Amino acid sequence: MREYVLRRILLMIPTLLGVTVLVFMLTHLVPGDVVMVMVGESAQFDPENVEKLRQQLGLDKSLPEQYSSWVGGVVRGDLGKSLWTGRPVSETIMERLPVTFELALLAIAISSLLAILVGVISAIRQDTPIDYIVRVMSIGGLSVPEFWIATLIIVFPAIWFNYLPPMRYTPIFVDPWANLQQFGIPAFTMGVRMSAGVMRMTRSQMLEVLRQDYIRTAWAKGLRERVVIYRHALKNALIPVITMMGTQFSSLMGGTVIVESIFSLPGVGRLMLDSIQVRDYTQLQGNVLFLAIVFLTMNLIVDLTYAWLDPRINY
Amino acid sequence: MARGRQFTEAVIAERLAEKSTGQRVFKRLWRFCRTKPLGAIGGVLVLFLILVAILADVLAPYDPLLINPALKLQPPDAKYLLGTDQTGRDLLSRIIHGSRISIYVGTLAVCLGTLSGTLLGLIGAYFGGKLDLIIQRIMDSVMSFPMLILAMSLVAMVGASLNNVVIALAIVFTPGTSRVIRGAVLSVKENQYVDAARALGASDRRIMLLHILPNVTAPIIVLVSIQVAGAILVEASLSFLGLGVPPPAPSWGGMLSGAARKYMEIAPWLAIFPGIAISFTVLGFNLLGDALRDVMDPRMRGTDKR
Amino acid sequence: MRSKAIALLLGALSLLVLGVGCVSTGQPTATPSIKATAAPGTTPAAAGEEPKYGGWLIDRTNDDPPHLDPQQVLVHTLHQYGASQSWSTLLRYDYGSKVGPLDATVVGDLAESWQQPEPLVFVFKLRQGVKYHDIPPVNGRELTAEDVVYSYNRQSTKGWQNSEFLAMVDKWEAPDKYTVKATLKKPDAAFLVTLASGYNKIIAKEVVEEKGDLKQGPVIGTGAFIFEKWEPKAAIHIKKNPNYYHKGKPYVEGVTTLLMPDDSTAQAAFRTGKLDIFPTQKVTADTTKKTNPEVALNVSAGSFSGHNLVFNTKKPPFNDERVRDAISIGIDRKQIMDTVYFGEWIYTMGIALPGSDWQISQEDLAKSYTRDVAKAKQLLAEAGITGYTGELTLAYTYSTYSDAGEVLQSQLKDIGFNMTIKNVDSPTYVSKILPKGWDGDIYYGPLGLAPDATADLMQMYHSTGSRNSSGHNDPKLDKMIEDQAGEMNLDKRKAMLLEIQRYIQDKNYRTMTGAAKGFTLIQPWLKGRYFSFDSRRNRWWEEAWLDPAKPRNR
Repeated sequence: MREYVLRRILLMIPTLLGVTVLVFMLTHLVPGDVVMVMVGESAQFDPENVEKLRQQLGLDKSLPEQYSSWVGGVVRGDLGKSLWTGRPVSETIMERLPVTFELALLAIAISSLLAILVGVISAIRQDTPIDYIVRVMSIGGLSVPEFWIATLIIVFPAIWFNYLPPMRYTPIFVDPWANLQQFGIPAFTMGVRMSAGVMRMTRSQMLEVLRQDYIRTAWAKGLRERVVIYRHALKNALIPVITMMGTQFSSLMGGTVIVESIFSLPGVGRLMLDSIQVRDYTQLQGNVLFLAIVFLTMNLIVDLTYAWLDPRINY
Repeated sequence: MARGRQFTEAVIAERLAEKSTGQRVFKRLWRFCRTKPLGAIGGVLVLFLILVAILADVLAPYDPLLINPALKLQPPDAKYLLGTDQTGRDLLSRIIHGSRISIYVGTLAVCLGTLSGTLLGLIGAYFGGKLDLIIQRIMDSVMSFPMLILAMSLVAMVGASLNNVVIALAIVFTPGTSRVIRGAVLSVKENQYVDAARALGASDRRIMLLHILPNVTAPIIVLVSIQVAGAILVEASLSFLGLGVPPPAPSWGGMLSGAARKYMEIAPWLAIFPGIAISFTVLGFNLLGDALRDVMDPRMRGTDKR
Repeated sequence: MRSKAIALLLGALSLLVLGVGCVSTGQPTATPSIKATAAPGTTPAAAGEEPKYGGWLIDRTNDDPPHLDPQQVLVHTLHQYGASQSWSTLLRYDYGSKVGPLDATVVGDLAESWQQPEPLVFVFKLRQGVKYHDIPPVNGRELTAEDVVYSYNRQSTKGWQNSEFLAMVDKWEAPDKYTVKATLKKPDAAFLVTLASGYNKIIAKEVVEEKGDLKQGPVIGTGAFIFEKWEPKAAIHIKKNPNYYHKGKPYVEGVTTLLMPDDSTAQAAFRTGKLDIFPTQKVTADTTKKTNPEVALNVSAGSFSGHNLVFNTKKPPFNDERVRDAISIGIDRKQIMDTVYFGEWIYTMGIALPGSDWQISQEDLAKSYTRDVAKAKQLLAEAGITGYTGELTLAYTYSTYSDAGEVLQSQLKDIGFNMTIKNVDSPTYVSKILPKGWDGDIYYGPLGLAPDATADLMQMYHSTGSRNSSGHNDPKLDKMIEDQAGEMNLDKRKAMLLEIQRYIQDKNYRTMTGAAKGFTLIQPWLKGRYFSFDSRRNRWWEEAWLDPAKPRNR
């Protein structure tokens, strides 16, 4: 087991290296750079000034040089300074992280609650109209583009109820009610979309478990339906579901871009979007690298949890 | 499914005994509809969509690109069944033609992604060793990239056009596919008939193409149907960010973004109808894919009540 | 007796000398010597309305500023919103009922008055008793000429874009505590107008000496408000400066700029009373007025900047003037602008002129830009062009330009130009299209303007211009531009600029389709908002007051 973990961690290194190459190439191959963005805002520029600025930011060096100096810093734990604000990249990431983290957590909580409830009902009442309705609704939840639900949710309550969720971020420890108000709707929007996948998994797992012998025994013993479901079936069915939640979490961390933008949430997703739009290479590279590490670590944890929970798997 | 030469012979015998191919197919289809009604509905939606896409020129009452600013933002009426958009184009015609773009982007992107993913997964799993390790690491690198950011960067890099969006989406979908295929191939690889084929002197390529590939078609089909839905939605998100299929092409995602949001209160039809179009299309593919997965996943066999 | 006569003679002589001296400084220059009288024009409140003190103003912008150094960036998030009113400028633009919304009349701010003793020398007399904010390390000391000189010298740092605004000055000096002297390199009619731009903020030297740069603050200036707090990606707060040198202002206790990237969110915030003011477009303004009928709506007279169409004159057939003329007359500007702005727009030449009366009249422009497809086809036939297939590059910043671009595309088809649309985002546009060396055909998108016509002409129309996207080289035009740059006589310059406008209209290196009128929604409790040329600053914040009599629904 120890060997397996070690091997996985070692394997992360070449993957991360690949990510650095990929993100570096992508950002630098997109036309335009941060200096031109700074210029674009104003109505004038002097090519001399532009060159000077480029030199200051190190953008005049050759690509391999820039890459090696960046990666060199990364290896030492220094993600560099943002080209747009001048602040250390890691500092900005750390500032934004709690927002996306909280959003992801809430979205998964809502999604899981919805999905497990719906999945269990669907499995117990398999192939009945309830099953169909519920399944269509959950898949319907992920069939509408995210930015549309978000827009509708912002626009119409404002017209009908004169209500707008708070648009200024307050950390949960400072004002829990305002915080939950602000996060509630975006988390709900995302949670509903994600619930389809988890619901599916729950349903199929439940169906499989319900066919097992030990469940049949419980039925034969005359135990009530509720006891059978909760005490015996659910626990075993949920193992892969829990692991799926773990995977979703890591992909969520990078998938909150649009929701954060519409709901004015200062998270990591929006940070990446902004970085692309101003061509802030170092910030974007640092972000992507950070999220990649989160993603890979999460995958490792999920795999290990899976192995730990399911005694049949042995590494 | 085929399981080695013996089974193949048995199946061939069975098929010869049946009346005709058409009847067999029909029987299969009917059973599918009965056991998986939701999947059948999905299938009908998808079929309908494909038909609309093919017959778009005939079905659309007007030219989807014909601008007529004097008639802009008209609500649905007898002449313009779904109303007109912000430059006076007929919304119904645009939605009908939009199906072509969605099908084109969705299926082509996913096909390309599936092709490359399958190839990579197949090669990696079959040959194993260093090659597998390298391919896997590259796939992992791409997968660790936040999907929307990856798509955005790719499109921004080469410029937003119909084909560039397709290629960008294909790249985004490749690693996921390769992982699934790799897993499937690994499990099939150990089967005896592969050894048998090798003992008979079959080349690697023959083994891969004739023996292994057919047995992993099930996950491929399921993946494709689910991913097409995803591709259409990602294109919508890209359009929202300004990087989707460029105007004036009537992509549903594009129709939902810009003007639709701005004029939402005075012309809600601009958003409602493309929204419905996308939702039903994605729903159809998802339902179909779900049902196919049910049918083809061996673990789900025997769980149907009927 | 004799002494009395001598005294009288001396007195008369000195009077004579003084008189001559006064006359000699009063040359026919662009800006006569002004003495500070009452505060430069204020919007008269409705009869019987006195500004009330108190309340907190809430405004909105779409993003965070990159940092807090106003001399190293030119972003609106720092110079118009957020912390912008923490700093003052030497000069400013006049405002009020007597000033047209597009008139760039210069008046003093930190400067009480100024004179131009020689063609290349300007001497500014500073207000006395102006105090910096009471924050360490400056601690509320008085602002002197040294500070102004230091500030402008810093701003002129090589490599900083903001140095562009002061590039015409050879040296800044502080001959005494309240006098600032500027010596220009050559005569420049645009000097004062450019100097009055809100981008030339006076900073505090102690902060630079202590921190190296101003990017992380602290924000210390002499402005109407004092910087309080920056909540990243959420809001920026500034509070009232009790020692502001314009006594009695500001009226509000402070201003918060909310950061909302999305417009529909901002509209919802305005509707629910969480935003006091909301600049927007006609459609959004109409729908908001429907749900909130009590809000006030201001429709601006338009601006000089708007939609511009740029030809790549280095690429055939756009190197042929007839082709460009054909396109200019073959498109229907009215149809394009009416489609996206619902009739609320004006014609423009795309140059920041000192006033709307300096531009070719609207009637003239409307006449010359009436669509004539037949004439266009005739011109094309003369040029030997039967049809053309190419690319129309659009900047997809806003859907407005995208829609306008689609209408343009269809109009171009009518005269035989089949253009496919290519979308680029702002950074791509700035790096690929703005400078010369572009390989596209036609570009259509928004246009940003400098504070004065000279800068615009030099950058866009001069052959060496940094924003000469069309890549043309026209020595005659170059000379016309250079000549008007040094022409200090207002009437002469006006005539020269009119001639230039007719010339560039004729040549069509680039052309404008029009400029939108601005729609601003104002909550019923917000008063004091005026509209003038100094839109690059939100100076009106110091004039704003909140009416406690009007109910607030937030």
